[in-house]
Amino acid sequence: MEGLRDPAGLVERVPELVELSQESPAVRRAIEKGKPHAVYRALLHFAWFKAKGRSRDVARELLSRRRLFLEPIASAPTLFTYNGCGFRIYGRADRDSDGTYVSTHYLTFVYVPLFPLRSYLTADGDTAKSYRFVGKVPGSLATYLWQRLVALAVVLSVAVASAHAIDDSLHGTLHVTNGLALPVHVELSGAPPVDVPGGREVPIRASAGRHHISVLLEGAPIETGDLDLPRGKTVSFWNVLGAALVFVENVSYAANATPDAASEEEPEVHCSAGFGSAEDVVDAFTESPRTISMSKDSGKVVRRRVDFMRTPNACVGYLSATGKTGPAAALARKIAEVGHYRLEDVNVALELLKRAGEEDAVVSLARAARDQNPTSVEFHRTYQSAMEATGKRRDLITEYRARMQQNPGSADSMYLLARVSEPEEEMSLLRTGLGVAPHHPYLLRAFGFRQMCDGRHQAAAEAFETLHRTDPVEFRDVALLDVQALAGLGQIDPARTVVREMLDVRDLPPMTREQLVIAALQLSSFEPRVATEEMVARVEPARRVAVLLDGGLDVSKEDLEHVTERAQRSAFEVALVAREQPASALDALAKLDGVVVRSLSGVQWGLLFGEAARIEPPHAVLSKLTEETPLDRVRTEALARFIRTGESSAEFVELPADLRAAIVLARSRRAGVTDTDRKALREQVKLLDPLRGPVTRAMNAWPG
Amino acid sequence: MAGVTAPALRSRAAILVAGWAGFYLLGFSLAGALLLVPWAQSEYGKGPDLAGLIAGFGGLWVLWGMRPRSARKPEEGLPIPVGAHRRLRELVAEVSRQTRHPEPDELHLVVDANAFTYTTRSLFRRGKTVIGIGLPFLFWLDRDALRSVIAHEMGHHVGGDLRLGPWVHRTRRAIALTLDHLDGSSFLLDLPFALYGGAFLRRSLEVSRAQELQADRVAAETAGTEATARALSIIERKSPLWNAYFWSEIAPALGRGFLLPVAEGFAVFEANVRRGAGTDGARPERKHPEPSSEHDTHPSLGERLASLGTPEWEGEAGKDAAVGLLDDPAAAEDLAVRYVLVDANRKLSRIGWSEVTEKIWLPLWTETLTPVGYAFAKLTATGLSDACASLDDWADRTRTGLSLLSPEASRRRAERYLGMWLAVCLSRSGFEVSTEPGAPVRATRGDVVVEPFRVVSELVSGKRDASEWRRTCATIGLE
Repeated sequence: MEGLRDPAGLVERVPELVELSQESPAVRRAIEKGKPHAVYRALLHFAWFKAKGRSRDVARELLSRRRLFLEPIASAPTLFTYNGCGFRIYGRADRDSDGTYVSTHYLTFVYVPLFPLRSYLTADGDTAKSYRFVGKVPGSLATYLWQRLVALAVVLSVAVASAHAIDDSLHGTLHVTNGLALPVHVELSGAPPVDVPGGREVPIRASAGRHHISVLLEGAPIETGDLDLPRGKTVSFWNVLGAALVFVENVSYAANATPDAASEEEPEVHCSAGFGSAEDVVDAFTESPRTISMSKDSGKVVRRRVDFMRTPNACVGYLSATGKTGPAAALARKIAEVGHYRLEDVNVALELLKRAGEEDAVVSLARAARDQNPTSVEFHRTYQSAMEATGKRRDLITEYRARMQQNPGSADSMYLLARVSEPEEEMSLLRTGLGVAPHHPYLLRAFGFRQMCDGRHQAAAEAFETLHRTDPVEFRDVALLDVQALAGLGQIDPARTVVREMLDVRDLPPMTREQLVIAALQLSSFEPRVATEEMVARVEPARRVAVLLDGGLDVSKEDLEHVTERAQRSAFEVALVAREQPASALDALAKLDGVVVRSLSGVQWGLLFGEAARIEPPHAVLSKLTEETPLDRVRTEALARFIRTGESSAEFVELPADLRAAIVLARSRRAGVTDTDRKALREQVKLLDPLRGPVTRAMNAWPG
Repeated sequence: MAGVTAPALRSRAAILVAGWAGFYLLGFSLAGALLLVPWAQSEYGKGPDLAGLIAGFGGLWVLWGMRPRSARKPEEGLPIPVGAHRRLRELVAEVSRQTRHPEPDELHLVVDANAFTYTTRSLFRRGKTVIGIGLPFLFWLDRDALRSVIAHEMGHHVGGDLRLGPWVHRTRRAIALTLDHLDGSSFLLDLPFALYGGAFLRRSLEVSRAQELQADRVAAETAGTEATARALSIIERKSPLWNAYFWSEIAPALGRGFLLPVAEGFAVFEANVRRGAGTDGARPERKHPEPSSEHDTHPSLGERLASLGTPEWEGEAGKDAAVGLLDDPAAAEDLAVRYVLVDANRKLSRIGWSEVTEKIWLPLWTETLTPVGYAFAKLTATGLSDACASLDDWADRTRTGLSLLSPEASRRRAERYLGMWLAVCLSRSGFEVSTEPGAPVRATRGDVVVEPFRVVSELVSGKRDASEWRRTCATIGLE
């Protein structure tokens, strides 16, 4: 053919190509490029789509012998595998009598060919599994397609990875953690707005750099700010109002061990509001895997993890538990205010404000909450409690008397006035109110409670029974009192029935459930006795000791080992000592942190407070017990006063019966109390502790 | 005309240097982009994933393919010994003076129909300038035409082409080596380089063609337009014949340790071809002037003559033959052919063309047939027609070594073997075998003339009847 360049000398080996190249410019171009494999591919295309008649037959005949398109090789292909992973040759196609065949060089994984690299004209070598490679030949169509598809997939995956890498280098993710109980709406400049449900985290992807953020709750802005969103592996978060307890911990892995949030290291806690970040985090707002792959020699692998506690207002609890009562109270107040005074939030905030000694804030918040919910008896109760805690009972009486005069027929008004009145007027108002509204739940509750305070178990049980019948939901709050009243009447089976019924209620608050379990354990000591193992086994291990302690049962070492929280465990240990040796318990408590005092249950605190206050001079730990009181200042002072002088007060009278029992016991143990009074006081203890709980146990066990 | 513009040296240099820099820019950009993927994944994401690792490996693979590789270009041709061919040296010196360029340090002779010049550069040694002249030019051209050829090469120096050459060579080599490394990676990594290489090649060849036209102008200014046109035309006309002649007639003799009179043989070869006495009997057709393609390093003859503004030279060289510049043409032939030998110092025996059949072809054919002698053991001259009729069987039967030939190539090889066998057979039957250059092989006994290769070809193609061949065999006493 005139002018056909053949730099590879292919035409000499395959003269048929001269004629075919006249019909196919692509074949000619490939020949002139000196690339036999390109000639093969051009010929393949020609044979399939263009060639006709004899040309097609000739082309197909040539294509059937890939060895004709041999290209030289500079060196033999690498043949190396480790456990079947590496490079191997497979196949013996196009065998010829000269001993050669076409094999394909593959990338393999466990002997499975993954990716065909090249095909070679091969001959067996002189020894077993040795080869002589003559040259490269085009791969078969299947091999070619296989190779191209895998290559395409790899190229695409690299392209996608590149796109993601570029995107990652230009963007960052802001994790918005909402520790509130309510959903918030978050607007970050340059990103679509998102809604973040309460107790949830929602990531927002945005370009790296400066941004403005606004957080809205029910349409009203509660927080705004500017932030510099970083790119890269830095985990950035926005802690709405600082309510979410965001923590950064190191999770360590060791061979043959489960992951462990490195016990010797305290997690890094972020309770500050707004923007925060953490470096070198592997698991962001997700659980760390249970297991990871690691070499046996690596010993220990640590993964950094950032997450937050899903429980609402967790930072409030954290700050409070770590002695930062002031910041905890401020945060709780803010949460209550922006959350439109949800009762739970208000109660938490009031409790902390009381503890922080911010009496004005207590009243202010309680009043604001009540004013926001003027028809809610619960908010009035809260307000009243706040006023009482700050010693403003007289103001309350005046305020609510005026209120009742404005609504003389209102059962609610009567109830609210009765709550703050002196016992005689209270009882009168309650009776009048029940006359107007015999099924008014608050009146029934208050009436029953008042009867219990006075030791009139029968009247109390009747009021509670009426409430049980007419408003089972409200009854849940006083079910324990009903059990105590029934036990005081010796009606053990009905008391057990109430406990069982209440424990069957699914959405019972955890604390109420725990108290009912304790009551059930206390009832088990009554005749006929019942087994408690099954009931105890159902209690969460971390809370089991608390239940056993207040339930009057023995506590084993194994039970104590389940308690991982240090302060809680110390509190349980002190309470265990206090069962027999109150003086030793007080000495031990004196050496411990105030956090331990806060971990005591109410009745345990009452027993130790009473014991510390009854002796002269008072035990050194008394100041710590007073400082960390679960009550407010006024009530705590009322307790101390009663122990010292036997003087009762409205604040003292309306305290929980078991706590009052503990204080009465302390009074009975005080030096200088006459035997007659001591006997009467011990009888009062029995009346106040009809379930024979820790106070009765102390009364029986403590040395005189 | 494809790419015959003549940009100034500065712009040519700029283009080529930009092309060189562009290649490395492309390569480093591609490698950098691929290496950035795992880095970015590590820096901004959760660490490199499989795709990132593959990208990183691809980046390293590209960098490895671009690594500088030193390769010393071998010298072309062998230098004419000091003191030899004084007149030729004087001509070169004269042209140097005319072109105002220092006289070359060495004058090389090569066996190709080509002329060249280059400058070697060394870091610690003084470089040298070499001019190489193809041996056939001395036989074909007159002194003025040869002066034009030398002036053309000097024109490359004058035009500064030699300063650009290394850049072009380095870049082409770098692209070619990178492509060779990446070709078959199957992941399209070679694609940017192939596209860039194609573009660079087109641009650099365009520059090369422009350089050739400029060198032609220097040649015309030095030796005259007519002499330059004459040289270009004659070389264009005779070069294809020379290549065929050298590799079909001279190279087999060299392989067997003989040196034939090269110039004498070419004259016979050319005459035979021109007489239409080629093996296929076809007279070579005159080529129409063609434009150069984008792959050509040199412009086409038509473009070169058009650039000079002169028509093609139809005749032969002038009377003052350049061969007269050689002190000893035979010694020049000996020097030129040694360049193609693996061992340039190999002993070569001089023989005449009359000895070529006995000393070269018959032994060569016999040796070629020996490995497949079993196939010919029972073959007779009268059976040759049957053998030709079953050429496919013979293609299989005469196969040796690796099977890398197509069916048609195998048939052609079998046909050649049968031709060789018949030639040897006729020789053994008292025929005198003649292998004149450019002419068909002939076996003569008295008045009987048999052309063995043509007989086989005709029997295969059916142009010759089998019975007629058998009658011929009977007539000449072949069995």
